[in-house]
Amino acid sequence: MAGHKIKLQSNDGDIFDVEVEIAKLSITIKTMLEDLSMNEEEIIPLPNINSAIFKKVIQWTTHHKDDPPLPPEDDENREKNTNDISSWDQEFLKVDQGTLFELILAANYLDIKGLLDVTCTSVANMIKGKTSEEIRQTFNIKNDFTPQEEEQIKKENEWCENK
Amino acid sequence: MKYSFIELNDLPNEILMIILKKLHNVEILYSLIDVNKRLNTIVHDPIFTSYLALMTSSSNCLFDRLTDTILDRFCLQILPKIHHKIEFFNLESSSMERILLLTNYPNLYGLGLYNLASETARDLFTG
Repeated sequence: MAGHKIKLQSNDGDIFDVEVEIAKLSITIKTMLEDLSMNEEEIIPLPNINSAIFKKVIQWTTHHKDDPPLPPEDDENREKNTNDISSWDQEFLKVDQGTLFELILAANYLDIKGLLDVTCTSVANMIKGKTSEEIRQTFNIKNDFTPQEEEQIKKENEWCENK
Repeated sequence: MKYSFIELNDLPNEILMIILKKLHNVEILYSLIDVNKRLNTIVHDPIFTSYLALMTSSSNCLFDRLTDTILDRFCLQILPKIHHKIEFFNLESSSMERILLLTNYPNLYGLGLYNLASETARDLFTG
């Protein structure tokens, strides 16, 4: 199968010729090809992914095609090491926040565990160590507490600040 | 690449949970409690509030107290809101008294104490 290509179509109409070996890093595409007996000549639509994001996904999967599979994650003993992003991935993830979040959604839809893992780790690193106000500023999150709720939070904060 | 307008708050809960599970519970609560209503609901989930290690630990098993800023935020703002949800604490000796005397922890069933001098342990456990 190595070297064979399939056609994948992004939601904005672009068609990509992708090696089967690389496309099958996506469990979603692998399932379509194997379980649903989709013909490799058919164009497989990817309704949730635009061409710009899909190009990034192909770039990532091409670089990581020979990686060993990730071990299953154990919730109880999960490792919290968020420092182990490779230098290649760090460079790959130098994108605006919107692109990063679209990559996360694409990795989740395509079921590419390694890409989902590294993109989510990158966001976790952006959260780590920030105060709630810094989180609002960094991620453009609106404070939607009612004035009464906000007043209560402020009172608690003043208690802390005046200590 | 075209600019995308997707923001953190647009991600589904399923994805937010994957992101948060990459952080320690203390890091999650310190940064995300009281940010907005949605995140507040998520971080109050028992997954993030039942087990708390209020100390730092290094890969070579050295334990230390949290910085005063983080400890103050926990003692004055966070623990009073989640004290009834905490089931297990890992604490180190220099901050354990402040944390344990702060409030009641009605569901606390387990306690890990670190950097505890033998005399302190004797005083604590033999009255």
